[in-house]
Amino acid sequence: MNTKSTCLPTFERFRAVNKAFPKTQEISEIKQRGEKVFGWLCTYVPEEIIHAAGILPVRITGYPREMELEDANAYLYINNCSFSRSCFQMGISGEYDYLDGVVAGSTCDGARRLFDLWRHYIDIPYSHILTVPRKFTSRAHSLYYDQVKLFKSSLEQYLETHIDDAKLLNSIQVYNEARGKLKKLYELRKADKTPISGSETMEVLNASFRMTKESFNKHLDILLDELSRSREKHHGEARLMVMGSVMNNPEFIKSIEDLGGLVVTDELCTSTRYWSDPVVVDGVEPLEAISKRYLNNYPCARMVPSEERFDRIKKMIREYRVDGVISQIIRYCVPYAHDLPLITQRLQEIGIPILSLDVEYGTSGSGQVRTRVQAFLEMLEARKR
Amino acid sequence: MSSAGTSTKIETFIQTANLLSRMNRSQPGARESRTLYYRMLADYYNNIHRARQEGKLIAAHTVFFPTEVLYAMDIVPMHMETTTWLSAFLLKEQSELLAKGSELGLAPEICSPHRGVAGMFALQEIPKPDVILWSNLICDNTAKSGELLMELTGSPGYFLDNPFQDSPGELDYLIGELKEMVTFLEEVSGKKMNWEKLSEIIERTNKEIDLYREINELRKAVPSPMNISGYLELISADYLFPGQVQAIEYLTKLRDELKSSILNKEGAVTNERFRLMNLFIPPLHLLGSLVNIFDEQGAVSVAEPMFTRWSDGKLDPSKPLRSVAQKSFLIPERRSMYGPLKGPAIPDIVESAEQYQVDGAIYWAFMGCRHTCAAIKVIKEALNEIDVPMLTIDCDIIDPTVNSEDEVREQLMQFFEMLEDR
Amino acid sequence: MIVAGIDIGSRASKAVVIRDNEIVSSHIGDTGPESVKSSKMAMESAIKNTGSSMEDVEYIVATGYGRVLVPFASENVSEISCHARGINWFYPDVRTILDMGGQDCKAIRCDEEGNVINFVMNDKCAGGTGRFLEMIAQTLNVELNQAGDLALESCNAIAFNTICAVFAKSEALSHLRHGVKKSDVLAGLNEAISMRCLNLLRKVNIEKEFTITGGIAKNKGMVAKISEKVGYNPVLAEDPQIIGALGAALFARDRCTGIKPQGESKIQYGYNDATGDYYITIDQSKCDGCGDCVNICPANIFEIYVKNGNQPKACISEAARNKLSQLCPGSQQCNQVQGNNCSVACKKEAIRLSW
Repeated sequence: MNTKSTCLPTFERFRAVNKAFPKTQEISEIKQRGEKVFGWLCTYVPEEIIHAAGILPVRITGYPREMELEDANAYLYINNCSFSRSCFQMGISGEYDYLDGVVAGSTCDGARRLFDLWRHYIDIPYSHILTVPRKFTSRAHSLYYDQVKLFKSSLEQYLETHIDDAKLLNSIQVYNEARGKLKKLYELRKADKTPISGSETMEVLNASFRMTKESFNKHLDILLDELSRSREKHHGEARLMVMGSVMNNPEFIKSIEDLGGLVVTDELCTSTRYWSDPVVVDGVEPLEAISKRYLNNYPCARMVPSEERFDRIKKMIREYRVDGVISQIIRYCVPYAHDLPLITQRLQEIGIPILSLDVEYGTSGSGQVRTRVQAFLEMLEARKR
Repeated sequence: MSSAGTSTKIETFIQTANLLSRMNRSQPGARESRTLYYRMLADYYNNIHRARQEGKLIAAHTVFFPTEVLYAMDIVPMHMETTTWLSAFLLKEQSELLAKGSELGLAPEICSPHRGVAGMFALQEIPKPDVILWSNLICDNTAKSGELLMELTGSPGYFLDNPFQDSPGELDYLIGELKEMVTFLEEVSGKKMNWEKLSEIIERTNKEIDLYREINELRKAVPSPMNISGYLELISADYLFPGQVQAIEYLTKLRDELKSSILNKEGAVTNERFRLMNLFIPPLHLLGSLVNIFDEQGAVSVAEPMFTRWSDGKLDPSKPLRSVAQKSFLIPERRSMYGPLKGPAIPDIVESAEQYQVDGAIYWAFMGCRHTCAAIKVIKEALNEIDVPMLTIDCDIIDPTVNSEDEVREQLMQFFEMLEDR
Repeated sequence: MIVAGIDIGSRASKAVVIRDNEIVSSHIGDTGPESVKSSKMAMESAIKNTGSSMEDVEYIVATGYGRVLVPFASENVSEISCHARGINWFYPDVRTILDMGGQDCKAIRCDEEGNVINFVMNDKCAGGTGRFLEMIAQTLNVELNQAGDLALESCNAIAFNTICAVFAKSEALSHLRHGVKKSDVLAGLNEAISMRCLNLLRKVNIEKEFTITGGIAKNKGMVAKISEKVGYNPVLAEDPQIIGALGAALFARDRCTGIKPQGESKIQYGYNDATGDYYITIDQSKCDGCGDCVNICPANIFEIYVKNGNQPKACISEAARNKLSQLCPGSQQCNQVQGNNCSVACKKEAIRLSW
C-alpha cells in the first residue's frame, strides 16, 4: 500500500482514523468513559436520534480489501452480497465487539439479513430495525415518521432516558454542519483542476462516519482551509463519476485515477447519497423534520419510482461536467443490478457513456478492472475529437 | 393469435395442461385432484387467452400479489413468475428467455424467474398485459422488476408497497396502498370496483384458508398421503385462484382424497421409508425425476412450512379491502420469508419437524434467492437441536445449467443412505 | 520509419512490425510464466525477420494482459482499442468484433475509423475461453489445432447442460465413457460456447461486418457454430491472432507521424512494486519541450530529447526510469520541500505523477 505523505496533514489524520477503524482511539476513549457506540447500516437510519441520545453512531462497513469470507459464506450463504458478507465476517471475528447496539432499516435483502444474523449470532445488547417504505408519498412519510417515533421511544426505554427536542435540534445542527461542509468539499471538485482527488475524497467520507461528528466537523474545517491554500492540482483526461452499489475503498478510485481519469464526483451511499440533503426544520417538529429528510434524501435504488434517482444522477452529471460514468456493482447486489439497463438507456439519451463493472466489495481494482477502465478512457478520448 | 402479441406460448400451456389432465384421468388410481390441478392451469391460461375477446384487461403481477382485487374487478391476472416457471416445467424452454433477459442487461445474479419474465416480455411471446403490478413482497427482485417491464410493454403500472413488520400503522399503510391501487385500476380499466364481489371473495378465502389448514393437519398422518409434487400443486391454488371457485373445488377434492387415503392407510409411495421436510422449492425442471427418485426410495414430502403454514386468523368479509390486506399478512410466505428473522419463521420449521415426525430435511438453496439462503445455517442449527439432519442442495429453480440431474440424484442418494443408517 | 506493437496475452505473445505503410513481420510465441522474457523473445523474433534491429524501432506500443510489464514499450494501450484499430487495417467495414482470447471473451463495436464505440467483456468464468478449450482438448486427448475440424465431422452434437469449466470436464468424460464420439462432444461444446458468445455480442448490438479475432478464430468448428448463431458470416483476417499486436503497432505509428492519435498520447514511465505505484506520465501532445521540468527537478530525472527533427519533448532519463521511487519523493512532498514541482511548473500541464 502506498503511504505517501501529503502537505495536507488533516487528510493524514482522516486516513489514520480509517486505518485504525473499527478500533480507533476516539472510540476506545468513548468506551472507557462508559459511553455507548452503536453501529448502523444504510442511509435510512436516522443518525441524529442516536446522536441525540448521547451515543456515537458509526457506520458498519466491511474490510477495506477483497477477502476470503469463509465464515460469512457459511452464515449468510455465498449468494448474499459481498458487502453484507464482508461486514458479517468482521462482526463474527470480533472486530466490532465494542458495539452496544445495531440499528438497521428494512432497506434491501442483503442489509436486512445482515441485521438478522448479526442479532442472532453476535452479542448485541440493543438492536432495532425500522420499516422503511419504498415510496415518497405523504402516506409513506407518515409510516416512516411512525417508525422513527417508534425507534426513538424504543431507544428511550432501553436507555431509561428522554430524548428531548433540544437535544434533537442540537444533533440536527451538528449533522447539517457536516453535510454542509461535505458539500463545500464536493464543490471544489467542480473545477477544471481539483485540489482533492476522488480517492482522497473517499478517505474523508470514510472518516465522516467513523468519528464523532463534532470532531469530524472541526477537522474538515481545517482540511478545507488547507485545500484552499494547496497548490496541488488534480486533472485527468476525462471527468468521471463513479456510481452503484455500496463502495468505500479509496484504492478502487485511485486505480481509476492512476489510469488518467479524474473522478470528480460519485453517486454512492457512502458518498453523495449519504450527505446530500440537509434536515430542514422549517415549522415542523424536529423529529418530523428528521424523518422527512431521511426518506426524501438522495434515493437508494430500492426506492420507487427509480426515475427520482436517475434525475438526480443526470443533474449531477451536468453540474460536475462529467464525461463518462463508471458503474460498479458488487456481486449479488440486486437493486442496483436491476437499475442498470434503465440508467444505461437514460445516460445514452444524454450522450454519456457508461462502463459497467462487476466487482467484489472491497476490491481495489484488479487487472481486469484496469483493462476495462483503460479501454473506457481511450474510448472517451476518441469521442472528444 | 391475439392482436396484441402472439399467444402461441399460452396456447401451448393450455394444450399441455389439457393433455396432462386427460393423461392423469386415464391413469388407474390417479388422483382426481391432480386432474383438477391441470384443469386449473388450463383455465387460468384460457382466461388470459380469451381476455381480449371478452373485453377484459390483463394485469401481469409478481408473486404473492393480492389478486382478489383483480378478480373483483373482472381483470384477468397473469402471474408472471408462474408463467416463467411453467416454461421450465412444462415446456423446458427457459434458456431462450434467460438469454433474452441477459441481453437486456440483467445480471446473472438476478433471480432467474425475473430474468425470464423480462425476456418473455421482450420476446413478446405472450399477450401484452395492459397493466403491470408489482410489489416488494417478497424481495428486492419483485420490488425492482416492474419498471423495466413497464418500458418493455409500454403499459402503465402500479407498485404496491408492502410494509415490513406488523408494528402499528403498517396494516393501515397497506390498506392505503390497496385503495390507491384500486383507484388506479379503475382509471385504467374504466370499470368500478365491485365491493360486493370482493366481499364474496373474502368469504370464500376464509373457506380456502380453512381447507389449507385442514389439509395441513391431514398430512401429519403416517403414512403420508401426498408425494413431493403435491405441495407445488397445492400452493398454486392460492397463487392462481385465490378466493375463487376453482381453488375451493380443488382443495375440497384434495382434502377428501387425503381423508380417504388416511382411512385406507394408503401412503403416497408404496413403501414409506423417509418422511422429509422440503424447504424452499426444488428445481422445477427436475420435478419429474425427483418424483421418480422419491418414489423409488420411498421418500415423501410431509411438510413444507415455508409455503404451507398459514398464520392464525379469520378475515371479515364486511371489510373487504382491510381483509385483502390482512390476508397478505396471513400467507405462509410472509411468515417464513419476510419480516425480521426473529419472528415465527424458525419456530414454524422446528414445530413442523416435530409434528410431522420428520426424518430429515432438504433445503433447496436457490442461488438467485438471497434472503432465504441467509437463513440456512440458522435453520440447520435449529433442526440439529431436535436431531433432524438437513441436506443443502445448491440449485436454480428454472436454469438447468446450474447443476445437473445426476448431481442432485447423487446428493439425494447419499442423504437417503445416511438416513437409513440412523 | 519502423514501429512495432506487442500483444502479451495469457497464452500467446504476438508481435507485429510495421515499416512505413507495410506489415513487414509478425511473430507468435508462447507466453510462458515469465512474460517479460516472453515479450522480449517475441519482439526480437519479429524484428530479426526484417533485417533491422531493436534500436531501429522508433516506437513500441504494448497491449494485452501483460502490457504493463513490457520493459521496452514506450506506452501501453488496452487490447480493446487495439483490436478495433487492428481489424480496421484489413476490413474498415467491420463494426462488430468478437475477440476470444486465452482467458476472456470480448464483444467490441467500432466505427469506420476503428474507434471503439462500446464493449463488453466476459471474464467471470473460463467457459468459452482458450484455456477452457485447451483443457477440453486435453481431456479428450485431441490436438488443439485439430479440435475444430474434428467438431465439423459431427452429425449429432451432444447437448451440454453447462459450459461451466468446473462441470464441463466431468460431463465430457462421462459422455466419453458412454461411448459418445469425440467429434460429437466437441460439437456440443462448440454449441454451448457459441450461445454464450452470442449473448455477449447481443449486449453491444451486432452490426455488419462482423469478425472474430484471437486464437480461437482459427478453430473452424467454433467459427462455423458462431456464424450460425450470429446469422452473419464473419470476415476473417488471414491471421486473426495478430490483430491486437497490429493495432498496437498502428497506435505506435500514430505517435511517430504526429497524427493526432486515438487513445492516449501519453508516455508512462515507471513501475508498480510492493510499496505502491510509481508512474510519471508525460502527455506528448501537450509537451512543448520548454525544459522547465528539467530545471526544477532536484533529482535530474528529466531530459529533453529530439527525434528526427521533430518537436523536442521531455522524457524521463533512462537511468532514472527504474529508480523513480528512490529518486523522487512524490509530487506533494517535493512541492512541500521546494514550493514547486515538475507537475506544477509545467505550464502545459503535461506532467502527472501517481504518488
